[in-house]
Order: sequence, then structure tokens, then C-alpha cells
Amino acid sequence: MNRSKMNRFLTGLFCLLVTLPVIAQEDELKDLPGYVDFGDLSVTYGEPKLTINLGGTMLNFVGMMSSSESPETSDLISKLKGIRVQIYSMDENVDAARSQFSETKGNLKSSGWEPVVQVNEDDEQVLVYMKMDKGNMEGMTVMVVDNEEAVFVNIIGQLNPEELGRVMDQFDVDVDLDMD
Amino acid sequence: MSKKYRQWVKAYQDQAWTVARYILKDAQEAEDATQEAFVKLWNNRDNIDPEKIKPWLMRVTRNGCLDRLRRRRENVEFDESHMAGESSGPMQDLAATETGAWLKRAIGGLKEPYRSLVVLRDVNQHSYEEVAGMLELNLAQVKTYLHRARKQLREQLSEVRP
Amino acid sequence: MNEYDEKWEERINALLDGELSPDDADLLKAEATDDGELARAIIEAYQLQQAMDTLSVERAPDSLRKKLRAIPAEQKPNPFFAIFQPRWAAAFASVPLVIIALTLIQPDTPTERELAQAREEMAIAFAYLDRAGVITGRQIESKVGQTMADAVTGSVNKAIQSHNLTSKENEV
Repeated sequence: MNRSKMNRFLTGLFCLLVTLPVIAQEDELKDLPGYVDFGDLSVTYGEPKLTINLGGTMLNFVGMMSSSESPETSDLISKLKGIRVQIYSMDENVDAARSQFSETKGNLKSSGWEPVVQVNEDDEQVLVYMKMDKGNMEGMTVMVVDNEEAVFVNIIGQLNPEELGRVMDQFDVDVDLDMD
Repeated sequence: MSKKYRQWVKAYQDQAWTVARYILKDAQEAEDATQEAFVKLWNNRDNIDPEKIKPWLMRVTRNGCLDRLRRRRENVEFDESHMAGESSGPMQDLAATETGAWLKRAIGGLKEPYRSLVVLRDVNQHSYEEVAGMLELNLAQVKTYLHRARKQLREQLSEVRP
Repeated sequence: MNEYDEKWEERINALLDGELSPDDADLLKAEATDDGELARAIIEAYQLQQAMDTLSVERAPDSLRKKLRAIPAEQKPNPFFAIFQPRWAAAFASVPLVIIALTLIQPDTPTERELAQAREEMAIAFAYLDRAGVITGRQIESKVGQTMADAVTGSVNKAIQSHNLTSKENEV
């Protein structure tokens, strides 16, 4: 096998093998009641600029790692079964994202999700939904669409927002979403 | 350190972009040059005196732009729609007046170091001392060259105005 | 530019920069009264300054802003991609690659790097949740004022909290 063919083979093998864990983690989450299918905007916007799929296994390890530094963090993470994020760049073409937004909203309602917050402005839409089962939270979904980004966040499991604020400091990870 | 870097990006990205835009005129090249400068900033972040980040960055940005110009040898024709001074996108507000648009072109047409001096001092509003540091000139040189640059612009302005 | 012009320019620029003393400024203006060329130069200098005032620092395009923010992550050395850089090592890369990938697929214990990445991803997800709360609060605030905004944003937290309390009671 010559060098260029070898490189192409290795590149293909690498791509296949690296995507497998992401797919494996997402597959594990699909059957959970708090899971939400956001649809696929890649046809319009290309690949998402960010995709996160954290399953229960990885979350457990992160929780264990945090237990000595912060029991509060560990406790918050222990209640989570999955975290999913997809973010697309809009380049001011928001129609497809808004359409997907509406479709997802309809699906959520019909699947028993409850709206918590809805904001509808000309340049920004925000939706927050929760899934409850017999008084227990099974999931939360946040969707934000503005002229720059379409953001879909799905938290599977239980999440207390007040705990979240306290716990974020523990992560010691600087996250700047450039909200200026 | 990542947090510090992000603060630098927020503080200086527009200024670096402005310098690159005026020197290179082409928006895509200016974007690439600015990105290169910030990559150098990231890679050298531990070696730079925090008090001197701004002049360091402006100098590196300018030098990178000049390197590109030398490689380009100023013979390449630019896509006119990308030229600094054209009214398009966010620059529309800035070049709202005819004079403003003309002035941008005139500044872009100055030779170095006059062009950089005008952009750094009159557009970006850096102090004389900062500009001296950025261009590695002494204060007297900065003022003298700036006077010459402004004189050139004044003469051109008087030709276009009735 | 001759020496005479240089001195002129120096004084004109100092006048515009506000660096001339009041006496020197008056002297310059008096000279301009008798010297048409000097007067014209001063007027043109003011016109140029006015034109300059219409220019300002330009906002970097969004595409550039994103690229600049991404630099720290992109500049981190990636052990996976390092395999491909020396061409002569490409032939040997497949074996360690398979081992690493199999570990990822069936992790007994994630590596430190994987855990660090998972923490970062979690922080990003939570930051977006927080942002939605901020956005929601801001939109409401602009319409009905801070008090109501706090009340509504707070009610989101309370709604979720009360459900969580219920579930805790159920556990007990």
C-alpha cells in the first residue's frame, strides 16, 4: 500500500473509530424518557459547530472525580443521566432553525413536556421545557435561536438550577459565550 | 491563562482588525493576518510583559500585515468589494459620509510607516508613546512622521473639496 | 518638506492636539492672520481632524471573533493528530490507534484527558443553560422591570426546585 493510500486508510479508520464513542453515548441516551430529538439542521447549516453527548457512564466518572473536591458537585452530577448539546452557526439565515424550533416544540408538547419559559422576540427566541413523571423531573430542554446561533440543550435526569450556579464555580473552566 | 487570553481578545480584537484592514485592505487577508497575530499572542503569552500586551499585539499585527504585503508585492488586484473604504456591512455606519469613505481610501493609500501611524494614532486613538512602542520609533520620530502623513492627507483633501 | 514646513506642521499639530500653551496658540493664530498659506493649512488641519473623528475602530467580523476564541483549543497538541504528522510513522499508526479507539468504545476507566474534556463539555452545557436564564431575565426585564424579571426567573427555579423536593420526599 503506497503512502497516500495508507494515509487515506488511516484517516478513514480514525474518523470511523472516533465517531463510534460519540454514537455509542448518544445511542445509550435515546431510550431515556428525558431524551429529546432535535432533528437535523446539518442540511441547512452544515455540521454543528459544537456537539456534546455525555452519557451516564462518563458522568458517573466525572462525579466520582469531583466527590473529593466538592460533594455538592458530585451530588448534582449523580442525578444526571445525560447531557446533550448541539449548536449551529446561523449566518443570519434563521428560517430553517425557527422552523425546527417550532417542530420540536410541537413534539415536546405532544410527548408530555411542560413549558416553563418562552421568549419570542424578533431577534431571539428562547424555550425552556421540563419533563416530569409522577412529580419527578426526568429532563430539561433549552432551545435558543438568534441571528448568530441555534442552541439546543437537553439535560436528562434531575437538575436544580440553584445548585447549578453554585456548582459552576467548582468546574474551574473558563467558559465565555461572548454575550456582548 | 485561558481567561486572561479571552480578556485580551475582547480588549484588542477590534483594534488589531482595524490595523490589518487598513494595511491589507482585503477583508479576508486582514482576517487571516489578525488571526495569525493572536496565535502568536497565545503561543508567547508567558513571555510577554502583561503591561505591554497591547503594543506587542499591534506591532505583531502590523508586521504580519507588512510581510503579507511584501509577499504580495502590491501587484495583486483586489476585489473592490472587499476594500477598506467601501460601504458594506458594519462599515456602512462608519463611512456614512462621502468624506469618511474617501478618507479611508486615502489612508489606505499612504506609504508605510505613515499609514500605520495614522491608523494607530488617529483611528485607534493610541497615545503617542504607545504608537512609538508599537512601531519601535522614538517619540520625536512618531510626531514628525505623523505630521508628514497628515500633511499628505490634507493636501489630498483640499484637492477633492471645492 | 523643508525645515520651515516642519516647524509649521509641528505647531499646527500641537494646536490640534491641545498641546500648545494659550500664548503660543494665540501667536500662531496671529501669524495666520498675516499668512494666507498658514491660515489655509490650519483650516485644512481642522477639516482633516473633523473627518478623522468620523472614523473609529471597526468591529471585527463575527467569523474572526469566533476564530480568535477558538485559538487556545486549536493550539493544544492533540496526540491523535500527532500520529499523522511524521509521514514515516504513518505505517505504524494503525496499531495504537485501534487500541485507543477500543478503549474509548468500551471504557473501563476514562483517561485523564477524556475526563477533562467531559468536564469542559459539561461546563459549556451549563453555561448555555445559564445564558438562557440570563436571556429570559433580560427580555422580561426590558418589558416589565427588574422586580418582575427576578420574580419570573426565580419562579422558573422554584418550579424546578419544588418538583425536585417532591421527588426527594418520595425517595424518603
